[in-house]
Amino acid sequence: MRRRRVTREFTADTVTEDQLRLIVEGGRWASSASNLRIHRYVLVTDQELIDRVSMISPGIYGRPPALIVICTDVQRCREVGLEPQGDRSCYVDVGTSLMNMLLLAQDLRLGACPVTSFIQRAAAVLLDLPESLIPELLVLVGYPAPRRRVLRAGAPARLTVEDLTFVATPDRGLQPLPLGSRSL
Amino acid sequence: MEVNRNILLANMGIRMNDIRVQEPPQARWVATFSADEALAVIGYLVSSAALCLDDPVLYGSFRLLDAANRFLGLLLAKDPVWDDAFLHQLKEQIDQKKDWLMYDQDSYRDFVRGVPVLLAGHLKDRAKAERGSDGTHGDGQSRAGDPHFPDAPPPRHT
Repeated sequence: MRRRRVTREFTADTVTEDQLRLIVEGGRWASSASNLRIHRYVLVTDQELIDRVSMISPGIYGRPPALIVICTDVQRCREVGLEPQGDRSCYVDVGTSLMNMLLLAQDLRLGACPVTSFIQRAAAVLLDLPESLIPELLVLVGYPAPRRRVLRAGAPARLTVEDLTFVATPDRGLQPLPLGSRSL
Repeated sequence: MEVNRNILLANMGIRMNDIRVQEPPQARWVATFSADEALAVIGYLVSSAALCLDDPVLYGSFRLLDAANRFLGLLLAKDPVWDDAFLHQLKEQIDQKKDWLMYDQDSYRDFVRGVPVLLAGHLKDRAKAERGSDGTHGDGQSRAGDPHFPDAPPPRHT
């Protein structure tokens, strides 16, 4: 978990279908609200198709060799009586699935990047998605290109778990999380 | 004036040495773009226009900077533009610092404010070089007497 970073620039090396299958399998093992399984995955490895999707995806910087598109299956939602636009668990499940995939990619020595900055309807047109599939998130996958991050002196420090966490108490409201003796 | 510019840029996280171009600025060049390359830029811009309707405010600035960077990337793949040292260094600076948006927004703002200053310095140097010591404008045409170029020396007679 600590080694994982978002990878935005990739080498030209291709990613195998087996690698993508493993990553998607990681997504499949993620928690799913009420085990409804309303999401579907679309794999894209054709470079010309990826390039076209990139044209309507400002969140894609480099030239990824593979995309995994996490889609909501609205037909499945109808079958189980779920209204995805009004149900937060729909997006929570995209996130849990994504995180498993990012960690799996890391384990395979691949880099990955979630992208929400793309035009959903334009992506659906380019990928010939059926009307029942709404593209929610692109996951770029490939081998990380060497990159050096340069931050200015005095840049804000990385947030700690103490910065992000409070402890609820019965009589004193939210309290700061005490410093722990162990960390990742 | 040069000193003021350097101080201004230093405050913006940019050292002139980061981007100082030793070679004389390039003569005018012409680049040709394929339909795919043009569509990539157009696609990026119109998609960004749509995303900016809902994105955080600072993303508007980021998309414009990134659009310029992508255009630089296309330009620098062209001959003879690939040899333009200023554009290379400008792209390198943007590549390194655009992500400050995510880690250090104050520095990001300073950097973005500094980029047009860098460009202005380059445009000025380029104009000087184009005017040339012989009073011509790089195209052999003298600007002597032209009110837009009051410093132009009289043309040399050959």
